[in-house]
Amino acid sequence: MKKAALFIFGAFLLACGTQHKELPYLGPHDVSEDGDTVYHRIPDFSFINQDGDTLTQQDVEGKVYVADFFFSTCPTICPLMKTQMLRLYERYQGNDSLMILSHSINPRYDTPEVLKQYKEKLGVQSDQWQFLTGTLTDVYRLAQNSYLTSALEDSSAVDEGGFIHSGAFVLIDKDRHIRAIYDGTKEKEVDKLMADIDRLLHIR
Amino acid sequence: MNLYNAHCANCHGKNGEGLRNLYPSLTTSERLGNTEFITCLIRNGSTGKDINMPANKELYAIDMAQIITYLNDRWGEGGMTETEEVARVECY
Repeated sequence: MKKAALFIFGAFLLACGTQHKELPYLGPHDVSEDGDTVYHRIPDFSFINQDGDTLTQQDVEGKVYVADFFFSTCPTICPLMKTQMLRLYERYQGNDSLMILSHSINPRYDTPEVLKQYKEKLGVQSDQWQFLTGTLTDVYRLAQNSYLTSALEDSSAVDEGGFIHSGAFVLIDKDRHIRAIYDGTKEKEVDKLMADIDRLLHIR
Repeated sequence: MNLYNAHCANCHGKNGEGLRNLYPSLTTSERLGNTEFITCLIRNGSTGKDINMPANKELYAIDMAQIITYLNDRWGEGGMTETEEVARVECY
């Protein structure tokens, strides 16, 4: 009997623990002159979207967003990522507090026109999901240094279409902090991402 | 993991459903049953304005026969596709 009570109490604690646990702040931390912790933030950026318009950090100001890296001709993990991102997109469609930024890591091929066609074929009509292109240096630097994920050109990666990149979905909060990184090819991981987005959107 | 899941399902889906208008569904494909067409499509892929499918040069005839049998079994009229039948196909 005692054991059962302990077990129930333990389960209760565990349930509370998962419910109230705050999402961490990922990336290198600094300490300001006042002794406050300064968390890693996504720096200013500028890319061209599928409509040929410039998109910067100002377009995601005050919003939670999910970033990923892909290319339109990718034969391996991108279709799996896009299947999962579509689930996420459809769940938050119409909610202006959430955006999705998909960065092409093959900007030489993925021009705004190609990305526009890709977006249309996916059936994505809203501005909430943006497909971005820019210079290779910018996109690789952003992926590696800012979003802490990998994106590289590698001609030896023949099966992957000549590029190496992770299937990560990166969750960014309203203050440009990375709060979590998920495997965007896995349904369960994306379920967790959506639960975490719900939590972030209820903050404030 | 069967060969379909390894080589086809990423784009065409675990259940052949495709991905919106990006990658075609296989479930209602009228090409199923046309061993010659399917063999060459899998082997060489296809490039076009709308369709862009990668080639699968690494697959042997026995692999392709297995995949085609699987496709026909799930979404076509069934029946076994023999390795010899696939090996005989010449693609241009």
